[in-house]
Amino acid sequence: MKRFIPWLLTFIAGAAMIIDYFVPHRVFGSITAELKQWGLIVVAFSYILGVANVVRIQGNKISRRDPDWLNSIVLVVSLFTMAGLGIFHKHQGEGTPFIWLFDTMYDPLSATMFALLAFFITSAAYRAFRARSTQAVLLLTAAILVMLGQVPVGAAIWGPDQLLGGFPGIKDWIMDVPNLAGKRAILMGAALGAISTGLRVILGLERAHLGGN
Amino acid sequence: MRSIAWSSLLVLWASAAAALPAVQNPVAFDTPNDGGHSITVAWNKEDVSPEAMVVVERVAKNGEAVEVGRVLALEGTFVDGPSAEGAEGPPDAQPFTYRLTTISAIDSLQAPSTPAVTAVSTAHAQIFNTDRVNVLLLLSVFFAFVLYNVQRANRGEKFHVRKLAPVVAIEEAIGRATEMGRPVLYVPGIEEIDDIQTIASMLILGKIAEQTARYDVPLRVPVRSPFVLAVADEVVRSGCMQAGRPDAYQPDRIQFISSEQFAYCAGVNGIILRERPAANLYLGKFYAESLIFAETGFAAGSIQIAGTAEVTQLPFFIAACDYTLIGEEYFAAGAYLTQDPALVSTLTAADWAKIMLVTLLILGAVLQSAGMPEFSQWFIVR
Repeated sequence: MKRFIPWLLTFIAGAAMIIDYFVPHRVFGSITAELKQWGLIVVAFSYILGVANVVRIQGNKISRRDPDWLNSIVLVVSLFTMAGLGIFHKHQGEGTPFIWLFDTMYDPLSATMFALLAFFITSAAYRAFRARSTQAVLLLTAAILVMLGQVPVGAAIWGPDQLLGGFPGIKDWIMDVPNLAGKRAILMGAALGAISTGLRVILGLERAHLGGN
Repeated sequence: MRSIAWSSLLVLWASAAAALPAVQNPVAFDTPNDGGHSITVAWNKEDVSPEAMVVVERVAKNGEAVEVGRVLALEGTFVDGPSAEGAEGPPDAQPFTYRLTTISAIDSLQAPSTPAVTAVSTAHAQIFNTDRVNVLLLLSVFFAFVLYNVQRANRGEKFHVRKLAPVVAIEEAIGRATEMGRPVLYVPGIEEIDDIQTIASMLILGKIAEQTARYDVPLRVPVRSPFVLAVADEVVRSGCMQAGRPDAYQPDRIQFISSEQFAYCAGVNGIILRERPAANLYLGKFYAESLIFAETGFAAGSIQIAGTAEVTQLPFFIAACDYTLIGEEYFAAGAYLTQDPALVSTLTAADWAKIMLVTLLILGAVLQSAGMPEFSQWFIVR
């Protein structure tokens, strides 16, 4: 029973969503819309679990004086400061402490994390493009051609009005033919895999998430 | 001077007097494949003026008329139905006619046309969307493949699955973590639990938790969504139970970091750099953070195995990780890890479906090239 009821709920919700795709009737649509609304409400409530988890784990670190416990204090203080300003400050919008903290602290930090990507792309490309095998040579050649086709200097060396459309023409061919074909093959396989996984869960063949195999 | 003024007035009067022509062949019909409360009005759009606008009025049986919208005459159709602006559309099963008056969109002095009136029409809700019969058919065939193969598995038939190197490497990575006495980091992507990739990730996590519990390796699971936290917690707990090691379940190791993408990213990077896990497993749906994780893990010297169906992130994982589960391999990993015949049988069903789709693709290409586009057009999803 402990597994049957969760499976039954999964089956009903999963089947309803599949049927919803084929049945446009507004009565059925309102039932599935209601189910989705319940999902959103449950997700919203789960944030309480998230906050409890953060407080418990960081609180334990602080009380045990674990390594980097000072970072945990910063985290908990930041969490409650932002939550407090968001909940208790009457006016929201430009110039309020909540927005000021968000704009001047969170946003730059977030942008910094994102900017790291530029350096990581360089280091990953350096490793990936080392021509140590036939596949790596192919990858390197394709990458050079696509890069030259993408930048103005490529078109200046071998322009689109010359043989084979120049570097831009070759870049377009690589992107539109072999690259797109590979991408579509992956997407097709992934779509079937996703449907298959969904079916396994709905039919109860896969029960790992219900507490057992 | 006076004559100029008089002539201007005459021009204005003439333009106002010449009424716009009414739209031709107006029809109203129940909007097909909808949930009801909707009637589509159409007219001949070939012989209308580019600046002509059609005022659409819904006329009830008692003669009461309500303006329901204005649209450029060139568009040729107007749907009177529920809208985001709050319109509810015509009630179902009640007869309405539509009165279409053409006005000028640029000249307010020009006289409107005489109204064109449609025949009576009634809105109805449809039970089945006939535009999607192609999806239903293909899906039914796939369902049949799955059910048939599951039945074969239940009869005791064996299925062959090709070796998935990244999945084998997961077991080796856990072995490596055991030898090194370091944890295994499992990142289940950054999407919510309603995403099929996150669900697939949770299914794999159960098997990983079982293996790590068996070898007594700490398993760290930082998550971005509190809902995923609840599911991951339960999955890891049951994985430890399955391994016969309930004491291996440590709730503090399944940690909610932040629901903000780059805050989560920073948190996971911090774990990688501080704890130096022996193995990092990135299995789920990822976006820009994929390469940041993978490169940080590389710098920390961890063995890295990734899996995703997100095509845009696959190149980053392939470049920076030791092994990558690509697309369908990622969805197959859960079944592969268990070797449960019923689960493995669904992989065979997916292979059959792939053969069917490739056959249809080739057939469609041939027929399209031979000037018969009807076959490929049947597969268009509306």
